[in-house]
Amino acid sequence: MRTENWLIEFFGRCRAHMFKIKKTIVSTQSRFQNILIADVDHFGKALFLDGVPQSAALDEHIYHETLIHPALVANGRPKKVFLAGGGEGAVVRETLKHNSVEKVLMIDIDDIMVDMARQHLYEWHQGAFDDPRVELKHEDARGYLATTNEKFDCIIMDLTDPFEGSPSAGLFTLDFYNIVKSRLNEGGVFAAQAEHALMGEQYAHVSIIKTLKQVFKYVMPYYTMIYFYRVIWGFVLASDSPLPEIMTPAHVDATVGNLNAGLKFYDGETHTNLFSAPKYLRDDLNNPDFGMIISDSKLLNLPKPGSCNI
Amino acid sequence: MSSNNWIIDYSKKNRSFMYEVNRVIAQTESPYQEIIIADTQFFGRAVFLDGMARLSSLDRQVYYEALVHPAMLAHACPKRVFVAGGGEGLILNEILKHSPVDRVVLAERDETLVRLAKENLKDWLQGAFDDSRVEVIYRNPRDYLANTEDFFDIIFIDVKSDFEEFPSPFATSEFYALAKSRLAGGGILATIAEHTEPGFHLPFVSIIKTLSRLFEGVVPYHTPITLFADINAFAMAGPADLKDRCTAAEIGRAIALRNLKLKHYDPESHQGMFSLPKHIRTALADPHAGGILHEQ
Repeated sequence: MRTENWLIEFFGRCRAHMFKIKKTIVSTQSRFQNILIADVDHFGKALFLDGVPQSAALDEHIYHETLIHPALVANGRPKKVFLAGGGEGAVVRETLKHNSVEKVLMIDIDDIMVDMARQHLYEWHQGAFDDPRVELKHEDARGYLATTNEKFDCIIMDLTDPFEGSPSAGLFTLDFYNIVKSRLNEGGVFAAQAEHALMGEQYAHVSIIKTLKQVFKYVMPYYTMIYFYRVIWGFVLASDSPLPEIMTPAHVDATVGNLNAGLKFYDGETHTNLFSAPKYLRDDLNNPDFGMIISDSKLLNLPKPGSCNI
Repeated sequence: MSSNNWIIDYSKKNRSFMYEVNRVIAQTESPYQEIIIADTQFFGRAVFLDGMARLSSLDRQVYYEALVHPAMLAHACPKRVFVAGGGEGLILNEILKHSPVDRVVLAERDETLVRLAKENLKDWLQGAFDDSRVEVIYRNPRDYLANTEDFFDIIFIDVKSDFEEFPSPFATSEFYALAKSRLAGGGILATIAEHTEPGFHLPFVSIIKTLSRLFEGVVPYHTPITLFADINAFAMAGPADLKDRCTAAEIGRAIALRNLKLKHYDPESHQGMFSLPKHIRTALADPHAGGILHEQ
């Protein structure tokens, strides 16, 4: 008999994913969340926030390339990029692969998270925080965007789930998306992680897409399996520029071929896969009776899942 | 605190999935495997074989439509169909949707599984086992194929493989060659083909490479299965022009021509399923990744 240490993530309360923890690297509580960085069997080094898996060495590149590159490719020549969240630093790493980028402003509300990433997640940020083009702030991303006069070519949200009471909850609303739109340059593109899209639990995702459609002319949801999360994850691009015309596999291949560092996941064929939605999601997105418009006065109110370490 | 019953799929050792169970409908040890049919909280009724989730009410059609329809549609007139495994029976429902079919032979060694499916999955099966075109043979599919003189237009391989024991006897060069010898001219083989997950993807790559030694046209594809919390890989193998018959436009035309009513598989789904992740494409192009699978 031997003892094993498993972290259990209860997902939707009626199923759960178990991760075998080989070693806890750091576990700490910031003002906003519990931060756990651990060595997990099969996945390698991995980050959990409040017990929810965020990214793992095995496939963090899939999540981060998928979140960042479609927006930057759609914009064409992004110079100024705004990133919210993304404390691991991998979103900055991916953004800086585009040679046109002159400035990256990253706002993560949690400075402890970024400190932990600097100390323990070098493979994620690869020193990107110290690039002279990068400015890092720790404050509320929404408050910043609401008061600044600056405009950006791309605004990208790498946020935690909008659970009830979470600092992310106010960054998934119609009111916030209107602020975002006012801070985008001509041809600007918004991108965000848009919650999981698994069959039977796609309400939050569909609501996010429908809310964005109230604000932007072109909204394109897209999907990929994040193996660490064990679910199909939703992402979204939104813009007033005609995204479907711009985003062809050939254009994607030409653009990612010109980056200053190679991509491991995103290219033209992967793009086709990402943007071919499963039918159950298309059906729900077209169903006027499914989902809701999220606003400051009517939040999603996702219940916080249970999670325990046994 | 409420007390809950959970089935834990521990088969992958380093990561596990837990399914909350409301009621166990049937639980038995057949000569071949432990079979559990249970009503689960999220997935509805579900079948577990040796503790591994196999199919559920929520998304059973995703799996069976993905396995069955690409091959059936890529063939101009699939009359004779053979299924290796598939004792749960739901594969029959999808096959029988194709009007050209006049005979389906399903070889499943586990009679208990077929009996439990008939008793407990009635609403889904809708009598498929009793269809006059269907013949069920309780025998190892390999022995059947080795001894029959029949030829088939389509051969499906739907035998649960144990993660720990790869390659399964139904994913080897020898078995694929046997299947090929029972295919009629223009025939197509379609099989489940492990996973796409980085770190677990080489068996999929090896299956494709093994099939490519034997068949002129081999087309890998994949689709996420919510129940498995994973992406399930598949492969089709057949004539040289198989890939050209599998474009989204061709599939759309063929679905309309056969007048199929499908829940998930359509041209856009097809496009996603047949666009492979880059790490799979890279491994397929790398002569050192994976290898040719042989019987041990």
